[in-house]
Amino acid sequence: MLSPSSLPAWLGIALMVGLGALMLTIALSVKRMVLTTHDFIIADRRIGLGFGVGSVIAIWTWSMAVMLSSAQAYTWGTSGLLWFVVPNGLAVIAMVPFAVHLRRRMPTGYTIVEFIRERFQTTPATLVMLVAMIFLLLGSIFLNLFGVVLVTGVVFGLDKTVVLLLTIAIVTVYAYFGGLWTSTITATMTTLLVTVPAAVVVLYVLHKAGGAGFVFERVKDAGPEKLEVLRGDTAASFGLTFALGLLAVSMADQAFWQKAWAMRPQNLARTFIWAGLWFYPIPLCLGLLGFVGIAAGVGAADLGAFGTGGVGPYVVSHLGLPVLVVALYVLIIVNACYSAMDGAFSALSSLVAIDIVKRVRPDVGERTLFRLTKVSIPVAGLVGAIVVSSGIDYVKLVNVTFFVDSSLIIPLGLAIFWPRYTSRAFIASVLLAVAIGVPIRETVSELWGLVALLGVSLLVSVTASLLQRERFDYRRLRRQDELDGLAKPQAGEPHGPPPAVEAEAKPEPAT
Amino acid sequence: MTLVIAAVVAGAVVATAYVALAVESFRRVRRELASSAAHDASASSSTPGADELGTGSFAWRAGAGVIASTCLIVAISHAASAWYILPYLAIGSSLAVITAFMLDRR
Repeated sequence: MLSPSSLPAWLGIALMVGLGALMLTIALSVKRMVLTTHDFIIADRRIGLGFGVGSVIAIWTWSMAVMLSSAQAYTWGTSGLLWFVVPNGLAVIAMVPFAVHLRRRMPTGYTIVEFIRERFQTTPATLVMLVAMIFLLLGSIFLNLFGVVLVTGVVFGLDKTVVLLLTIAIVTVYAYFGGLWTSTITATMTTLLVTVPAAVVVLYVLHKAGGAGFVFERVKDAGPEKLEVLRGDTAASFGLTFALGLLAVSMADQAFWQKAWAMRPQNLARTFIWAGLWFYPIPLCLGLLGFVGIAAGVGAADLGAFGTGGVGPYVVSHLGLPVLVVALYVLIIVNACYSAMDGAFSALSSLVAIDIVKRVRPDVGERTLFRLTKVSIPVAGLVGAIVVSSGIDYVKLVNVTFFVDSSLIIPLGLAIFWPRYTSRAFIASVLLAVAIGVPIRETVSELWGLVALLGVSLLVSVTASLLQRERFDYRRLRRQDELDGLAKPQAGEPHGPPPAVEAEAKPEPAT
Repeated sequence: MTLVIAAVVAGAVVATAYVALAVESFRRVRRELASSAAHDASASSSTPGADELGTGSFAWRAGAGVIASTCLIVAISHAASAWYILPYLAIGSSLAVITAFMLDRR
């Protein structure tokens, strides 16, 4: 049933560069809308429902959603798809109460680290959040780099280092021009470029594999458990850990918070609900490739070092499909990875502007701040290039990072909703949860590690807060928020592109 | 093969509408930014009142999403014909964004 397609390596490079060129074109047309740091990191809080829904779907549709859904269906059957898909969409929708509540209390915020700083007014709490956030965003970049390496490696046999460096260069260049606007608009295009091609590719694959009925029967023959939706071993082996981890990733992801503060307020709840609901079909559709892999008898030896994550690309590149269909599939994956990476770059630049540069040099001039914010993107790209080319197991590093970030779910939720929650409780709960949860994860199992991490986090958070008898007045957030805003163009000042000379001559306050 | 062709046609129509509405929305935002009056309006709109950010329908919509996706997975576990629904639903995701752009026009 399967035989390798001999696709030339240059086609893989051309797809990567061509997609990058399209994104760069969009970024250059957006560039004229971005004149200040405020525009760059928060898009003047003008993101509407269309760009909001389109971009949130794309930000969440990273390499995990497009390739791991096939991998989980291949490994666990429909129960794997259930545990992969349902928590994924729910994680986006679950942002609604937190985002709405926080936006109401801190209407002109920029970052979740900024919220923690204003909420607790202590350096250690802010640092814990900042470090966690930076690692989470770098983790997202690494994981999506791996996604591009995987698909281009399986389909075209491209060299890992070449792909890594090329991907970083492409995304860094177009993310540099335009910040959040670029990220939002390119992400919205990504949603189109993932959903429609995914439908065509999957239908073509089913047709080529002999039809859904044939594949269904072959999957049934491979083992009836593959079509059992409620399997206890799937939940215990990966489902529960994965579901809780996803909730932590979405809630503690500055890429989401940046969007939450950048949207027109009346669209906020609706954007996350729509994005979560309409995210579901993407992994469901691409998950079918995993069943085709089962039906075709793809084995571990076929997938080699790429593991089960490579089953989707393997099926598509070994089924004798037309080159155009294979190219469409590669575009889906590469596009999803680019989009998630540029979202992470944009979120990282907001942390650099608000939580690093503005803290270290509060009186920094707008021009310098804008320049440093933009420069943070190539710097993050460089860090990514160094880490992924150093040979360390960065997929393992990402898994550990996501696990550690799960320690933020309860503290962050309590910080947003519970006025009695204190800074000492926040720091103690995060540190103790990691100190106890990580060793249990390493020595017992991931599930028990997570149970311990969340249990300790809740226990320490509540006990330490109740003992301190403090109460935070959330109205302070709004007042602080008004004082901390970044420079915005003044009323009457044109927002269009100013003459280059004028921009150069803009005076910078003495520092 | 008919299903593939139908998806290509539906996809082409959806893609055309999607790109047209995205470009229109982009131009509208750029026009708004170019006008200083609109910029003032933005400043006021960035401080929402409590009634603007409703979450009333959040729980049932989240529940509906979970139930619908679970039902789809149960369906594909029992009937091969249900598999063909999923690719068309993926095109539906782009339709949802199109609807969102149209709501933005109002």
